[in-house]
Amino acid sequence: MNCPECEGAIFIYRELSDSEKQEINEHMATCASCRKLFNEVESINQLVAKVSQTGKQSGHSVSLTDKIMAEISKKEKTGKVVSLQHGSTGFSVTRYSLAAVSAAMLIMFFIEVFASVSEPPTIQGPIYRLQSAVLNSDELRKKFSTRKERKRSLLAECVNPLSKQTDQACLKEKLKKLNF
Amino acid sequence: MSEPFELKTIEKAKTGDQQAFRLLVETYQRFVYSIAFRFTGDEVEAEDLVQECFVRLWKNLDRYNSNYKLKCWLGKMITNISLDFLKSSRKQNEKNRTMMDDHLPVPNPVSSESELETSELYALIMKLANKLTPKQRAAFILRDLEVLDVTEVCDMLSMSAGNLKSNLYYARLHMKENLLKHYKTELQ
Repeated sequence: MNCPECEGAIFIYRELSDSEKQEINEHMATCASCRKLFNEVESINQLVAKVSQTGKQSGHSVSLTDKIMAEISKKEKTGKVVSLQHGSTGFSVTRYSLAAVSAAMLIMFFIEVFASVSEPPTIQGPIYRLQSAVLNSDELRKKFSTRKERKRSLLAECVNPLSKQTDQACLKEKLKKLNF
Repeated sequence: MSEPFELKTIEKAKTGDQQAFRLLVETYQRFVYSIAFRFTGDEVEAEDLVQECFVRLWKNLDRYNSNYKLKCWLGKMITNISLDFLKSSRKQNEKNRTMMDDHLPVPNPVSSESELETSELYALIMKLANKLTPKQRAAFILRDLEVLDVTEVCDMLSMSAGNLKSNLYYARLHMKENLLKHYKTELQ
């Protein structure tokens, strides 16, 4: 064993095995500086051991024990109240009814999703768009022709039977009334 | 308390017997308080930590493994609680340091000279311990001040024997250098 190894081991001498202690003792027998360090560390250890009894309670403090037990009783009571609340019928009814509503909503959602997925549109792609355009134009045409018809009938109403001319003022008024 | 009697008491406490639990508190309160006080240096804070430790024990008694000593379990619990407490108050480091200085045992005016010396020395050692890292400090407190076995300290700190030795080496080196410096200054 050399000095640096011994110096490190001196600080943890108490934690070493008997064989390790023996090695250190043998080294110190021939090394004055390590022996000096050992004595210094030992004197510090003795000082620490001397003060290790300071700051300890002489016995158990009854007031602290009472405080601890009171805290535990308090926790116990709180725990019981919580468990009682959880165990009551009212709580169960609310809990189960909420669960049932959630489940029903979930089922409805899935039915809706699957229904839309399982029913593919009969007309797809460009044909569908074309059909839709045709339908739209038909509707537009129908609407337009109805409008035209009505306008024509209005014109007929405003024609002077003698002069065979349209009374513009009458026509304007009628169009305004019908929001044309 | 003998080991079989302790196990019986623990079993009773597990069933909710508060009298049995009180017996356990009375047996280990001094030990737990001592560790908490070494870490905090303040009686009120130490009592709060002891209270927290026993409340945790009561809550977790179901998980107690009889292969493990209750003393070790409590030691581990109070060490963790104390280290957490110190970590949470690290933000107020400067303030804490002043508080620690304030809370270090004040020598009793009627104490004898030797008692006064011991009290001053204790205050100095605790002040030096406060400058160690949390692990070194825990190792020093449990092994050198509480004089617990190496295996017990390793269990409480969840560290290997080698790791414990390393932490003890640095803690003792720090103590030696600073105590020698202090006494040399005093002699001059």
